[in-house]
Amino acid sequence: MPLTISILTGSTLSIHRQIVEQVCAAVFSGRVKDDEPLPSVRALAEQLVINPNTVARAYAELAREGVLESRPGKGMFVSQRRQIYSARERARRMDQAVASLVSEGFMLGFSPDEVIEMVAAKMRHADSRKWSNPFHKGGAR
Amino acid sequence: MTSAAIEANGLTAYFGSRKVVDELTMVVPRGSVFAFLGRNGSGKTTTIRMLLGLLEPARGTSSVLGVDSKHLSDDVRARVGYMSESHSLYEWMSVRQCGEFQSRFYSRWNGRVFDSIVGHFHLDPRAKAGQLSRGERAGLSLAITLAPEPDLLILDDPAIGLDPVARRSLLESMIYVTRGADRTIFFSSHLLDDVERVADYIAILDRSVLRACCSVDTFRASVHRYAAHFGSASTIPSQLPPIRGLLHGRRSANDWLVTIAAPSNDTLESLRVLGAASVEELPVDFTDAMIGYLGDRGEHAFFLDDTAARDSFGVSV
Amino acid sequence: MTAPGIQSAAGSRVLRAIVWKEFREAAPTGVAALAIVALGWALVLMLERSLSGAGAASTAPSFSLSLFTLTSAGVGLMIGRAQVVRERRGDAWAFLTHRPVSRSTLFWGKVIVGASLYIVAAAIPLAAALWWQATPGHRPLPFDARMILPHLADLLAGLVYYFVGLVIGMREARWYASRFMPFGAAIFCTTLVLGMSTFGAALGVVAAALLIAGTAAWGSFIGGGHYAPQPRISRVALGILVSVGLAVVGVIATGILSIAWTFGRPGATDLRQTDYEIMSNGVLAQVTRMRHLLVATSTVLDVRDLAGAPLQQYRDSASKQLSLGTGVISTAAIPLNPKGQYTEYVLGHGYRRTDDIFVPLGAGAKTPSAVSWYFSRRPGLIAAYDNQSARLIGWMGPDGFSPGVSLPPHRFAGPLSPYTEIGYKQPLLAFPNAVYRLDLDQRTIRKVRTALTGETILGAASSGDSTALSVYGSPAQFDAIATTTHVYVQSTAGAPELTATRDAQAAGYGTVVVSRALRAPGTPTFLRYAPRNGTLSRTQLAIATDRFTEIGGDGVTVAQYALPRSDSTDTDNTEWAALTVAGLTTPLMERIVGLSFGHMTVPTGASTQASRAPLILSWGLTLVASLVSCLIVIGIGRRYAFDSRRLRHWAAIGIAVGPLGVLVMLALIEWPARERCPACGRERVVTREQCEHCGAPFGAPALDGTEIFEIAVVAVA
Repeated sequence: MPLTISILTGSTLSIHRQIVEQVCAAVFSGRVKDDEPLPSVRALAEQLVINPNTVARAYAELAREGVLESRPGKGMFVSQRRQIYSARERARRMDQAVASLVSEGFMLGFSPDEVIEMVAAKMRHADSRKWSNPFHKGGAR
Repeated sequence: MTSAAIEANGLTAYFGSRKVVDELTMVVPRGSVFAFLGRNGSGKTTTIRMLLGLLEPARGTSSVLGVDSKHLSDDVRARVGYMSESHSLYEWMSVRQCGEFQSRFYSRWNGRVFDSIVGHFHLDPRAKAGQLSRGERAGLSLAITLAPEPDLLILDDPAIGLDPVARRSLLESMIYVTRGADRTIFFSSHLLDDVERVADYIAILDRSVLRACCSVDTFRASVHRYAAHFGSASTIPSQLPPIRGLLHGRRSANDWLVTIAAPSNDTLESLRVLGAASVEELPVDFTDAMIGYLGDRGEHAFFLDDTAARDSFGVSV
Repeated sequence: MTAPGIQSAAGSRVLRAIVWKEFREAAPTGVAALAIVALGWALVLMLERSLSGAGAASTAPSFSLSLFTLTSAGVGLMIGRAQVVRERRGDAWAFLTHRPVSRSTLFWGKVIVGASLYIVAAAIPLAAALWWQATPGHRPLPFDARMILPHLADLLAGLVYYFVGLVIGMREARWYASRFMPFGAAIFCTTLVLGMSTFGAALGVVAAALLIAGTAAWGSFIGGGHYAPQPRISRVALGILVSVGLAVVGVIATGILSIAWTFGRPGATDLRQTDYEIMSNGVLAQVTRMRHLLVATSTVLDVRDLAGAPLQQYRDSASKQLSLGTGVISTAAIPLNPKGQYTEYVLGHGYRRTDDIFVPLGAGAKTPSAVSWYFSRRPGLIAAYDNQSARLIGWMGPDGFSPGVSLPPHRFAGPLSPYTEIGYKQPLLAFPNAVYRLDLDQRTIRKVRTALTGETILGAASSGDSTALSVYGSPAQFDAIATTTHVYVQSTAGAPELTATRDAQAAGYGTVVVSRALRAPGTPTFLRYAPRNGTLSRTQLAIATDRFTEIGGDGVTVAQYALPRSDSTDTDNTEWAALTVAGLTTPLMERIVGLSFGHMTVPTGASTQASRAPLILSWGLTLVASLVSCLIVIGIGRRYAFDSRRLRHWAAIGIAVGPLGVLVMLALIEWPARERCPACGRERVVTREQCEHCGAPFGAPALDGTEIFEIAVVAVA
C-alpha cells in the first residue's frame, strides 16, 4: 500500500490535521501518484481505528485544497490539478519554511554560508522528476 | 422525529441530600460518537441510568430517541443498546446461552454480529460467562449489546480494566457500529486516547456539573496554554489573581504555566498586568486539555528548587 | 401492525426465556426449601412416633400452629427474597430490565417460577408426610381427608410469605425496619388463618392477603423498589402491608410492655378472685382467694355469706385453708349449648381441630393405656387403636365392642354433645336421645339414660372420683344429665336419684354444674347455672346472674339464688396505665367499626354502671391521638410540599388510624432532600421545579468561566 498513515494520539496535532498533513506529504513526495485512488473513508477509518467522520472531514478538506478529488461513485483520487494556493499563500508558506530552516541552522550553530551550501546540495540530490513536475501544472490563478 | 438521539433538560439527581447530577442540559446529535467524560463519582453513571429510565430524576426531563425516559416503550428499549460498567451477564450461562437468551427478546437480533464479535474476542461458546476474563466479559457483553443492532448505543465505561488488545477490539467494534448511517454512540471513558480517536463530541461532567459540551475540534480550539515568563524569582507572584476560565496553573521558578478555557484578550491582559516579561502560547494536546478539566481546578504551585525547576521546564523557558 | 398471533408467539417466546432463566437461578433455593420442609416433617413424625411408642399418643394432634406453618412460611419468604435480592440494584437491575419486555412480564416470569418452586418444595414433603400418616401402622389415630385442610391452608399462606419475600427483597426502604414491616403483615395473616373457624374463611383470608401482597410485590418490582413510581393501587397495597406490619409490631411491643408492667411490680402475679363456693356444711358462701400465678397455689383471704357478712366459723386461718369444701363433690361443667365452644383456647378451634372428625376418649387417664379410643363422628362409632402396632383393632358401638376393622351394624344416633375431659376419665357419652356409660378398660358400654319424649339430651357429666367413693360411698359417685327441660342426677348404675326442672330464668345459659355436699345434713345437691358460653347476647350477658338451685336430700327444691356474676369485670381494678396506652394507640376507625385486632381490652359501652370514667378517658385519648396525628401528618405534608389532594388523603389516614398513620407515612414515603431557595431563602423540596414558597425555578449551576458549550450542538434540538 503506497499510502501509509500513522496516527499519534496525545499529540498537539488533531487526528484530522495529522491525516491532512500525511496525505499532503505522501502526495507531494510522490509516494502516491496522480489519479491513484485513496482508501475509502470507511476503510481508512477502520484501518486506523478512528472515527470515520474525522476521515471524511480530512478528505473534504484535502478536496477543498485541491489535493484530492472526489469522483462520484468511485471514491477519492489524487487530484491532477494540485495548485490550490494563491501566490501570496505560496509565498507565506515558503517564508515560514525558510524561517524555520534559518532558525534551526542558527540554533545548531551553522553559518549562513554553510546553510546555503547544504540547501543547494539537497537541491542537487532531489528527485529531478519531482521538480520537473511543476506546481503550476493546470495553471495558477 | 427529532434529530437528537439523547436530550437532557435540567436533569438533577440526589443521593440522600447530596446532589450528584446538577441541572444537566445537553443534546447528543443523532449519528454522532459522543464521549461523556468526568472523574469517578462525577455523576456519569447516574446520568446514564436516568436517561434509560432506570432511575427517577429529582427533577428535569430527558428523552432517548425522542421518547421520554420515564416512559420508554419496549420498542425504544429494543433500539437502545446499553452496556453497564460492570458488564453484567448471567454468570451461569455459557457464552452461547447468553446469546440465545438475549436473542429471544429482540426481533432484530443479528446472529452474525454476535458470532463475529464472539470470534473477534476469541471466546469459547461453551465457556461459562462467570469464568471469563475481564476483557472476554467485555467482548461477550458487547456482542449481546450489538447483536440487536441498536440505533443508540450507550456504553458506560466499556474499556474499564481491559488490556490493550481488548481495548483495541472494543474500539474497532465501536467503529463498526458507525457503519449504520444513523447510529449514535454515547459512551463514557477515562481513556483519553480512545476518546480522541473515536469521538465527534464530548461532554465533561465535573463534580456533578456539566462544564463542556461541544465537538472535539471546538474543544481543542478553545483550550489554550500559556507560559508567562517572569524575569526572576523575586518578581514572580506566588499566587495567581482570579482569571476567568482558568483550568490549571502551575508555577515553576520563573514561570507560570496556565491552561485556560476560551481565553479572551482580557485573560491575556490579566496575565500581562502581573508583570510577566513575556507571555508565550504553547501547543496543547487533547490529554492536557482534558486533564485541565478533570484535575483539580485552579492554580497549582510546585515549590521546586532552582535546578529541578530548570530541568523540568528548561524547554519552555 | 403485527398479527396478534405472531405477537403472542413472540410474547410466549420471551416468557419462556424468562422462565428458563428464573428457574435456573431459583432452583437451588427451591431444593434447599424442599430439604428444610422435609426435615421439618421428619422431625415432627419422628417425635410423634417416639411419643406414641410411650403410649401417650391418644391426644388429638394439634394443628393450631404446626412446624409446617413455620417452615412453609420460612421457605416462602426465602424463595421470594432470593429471587430479587441479587438483581434489585445497580447494573444487575439495569441488565434485567433494560430489554424490550415490560417489567410486569419480568415480574410474572419470576412469580410463575418462584410460586411453582415454592408449591413443589412445600407440597412434596407435605404429601409424603400425609401419605405416611394415612397409611395404617404409622399412627394410632383415625385419618380423615379433612385433616389435610389445615396444612393446605398453611401451604397457601406460605404464598403470602413468598410475595412478602419479594416485597422485602425489592423494597428500597429508608428505614431498615420499614422494609421488614410486610413480614409483620404476613404474621398477622397467619394468625388470622390459625384463628378462622372454617377452611373456607381461612382460604378467604389467604386470598385477600395474596391479593394485597401480590399487588404490593408487583408494584415494588415495577417501581424498582421505590414507592413513588408505583401505580396507585400497589402503593395502597404496600401501605396496607406496612401499616398492618407496624400494628403487629405495636401490639407485640405494647404486649411486652404490659407484661413488664404487670409482672414488674411486687405482688403483680397474685390475682384476687371472689367466687361462690359450697361449704362443707352445705352453705353457699362468697370466697375470696389470692391466686399465686407463678406457683399455682391459692390462699383463702376471706369467706363471707351471700349478703357480704363475714362467716364466723371461717375466721381463723387454719379452718379457712382446710375445711372449706371438704366433702363437696362436683361434676364437670355440663354443656347446655350444643354449638358452644367449650374450650379456653383462642387459637385452633374450627377447621384446625380434629374435634369435628373424632373426639379422643379417656385422654384424661392418669396412666398410659395400650389402646387409644376415639369417638369417630362420621361412622358414629368408637374406634380403638393399638398404640404399639398403631393399627385399628376394633370398634365400639351401642351394642358393645367388636374386634377387627369391619364396622358393626349399629351406630350411635345423633351428634355427640360437647365432650370435655379435664383431669379424669369422663365415662359418659351424651347423644340427643341417649347417654352411654363407657368402661374402656373392660371394653364395655351401657346405656344409662334414654331421652323422654319432648326433651333432648344436651350433655352429661359424671362426678366419678374413685377416691371420694372410697370415703363417702356410693352417694359420691353420681351421673348428672342435662336435657332441654330437666337436670337428672342418677347413680352410675342408672338408678334415678334426683330430677329437677331446668331453671327457667337460666334459659340460654352455657353450663350447669351439679355439686353434692356429702358432709352436710341431708346431703343437699346444688345446680349452678353459668351464663358464659351460652346463647345470650352481649347485653343479656352483661346483666345475667349466676343462678343456683339447692335441692334437699328428699328431692325438694330448698332455695334458688340469683347472684351477681362472679366473673364480671371488676371496675375497681381498672389499669389506668394500660387504659391510657390502649386509648392512645387504638385507631379511631377500629373503635368506630367496633373491631378488635387483639389490642388490650378496651372498655366498651356494654359494661354499664360506674365505669363511665375509663370509657370517657380512653375515647378522649383516642380522639386526641387522632387529632394530633392528623396535625403531624399535615405538618409533614406541608413541609414536603404535598399538593392539597395528597395532603387530604394523608390527613384522612391520620384521623382514621392515628399514630399508626404517622408511622406508615414516615415508613412509606421516600423523603426528598430540601435546599435553600436561591430566590426566597427558605427551605424548598428539591423534587419540585418551582419553589413552593416563591415559585422560582432552580437556577443553573454557577458558571466558572471554563464552560465550552457549542451552540450548534444544543441547537440541533
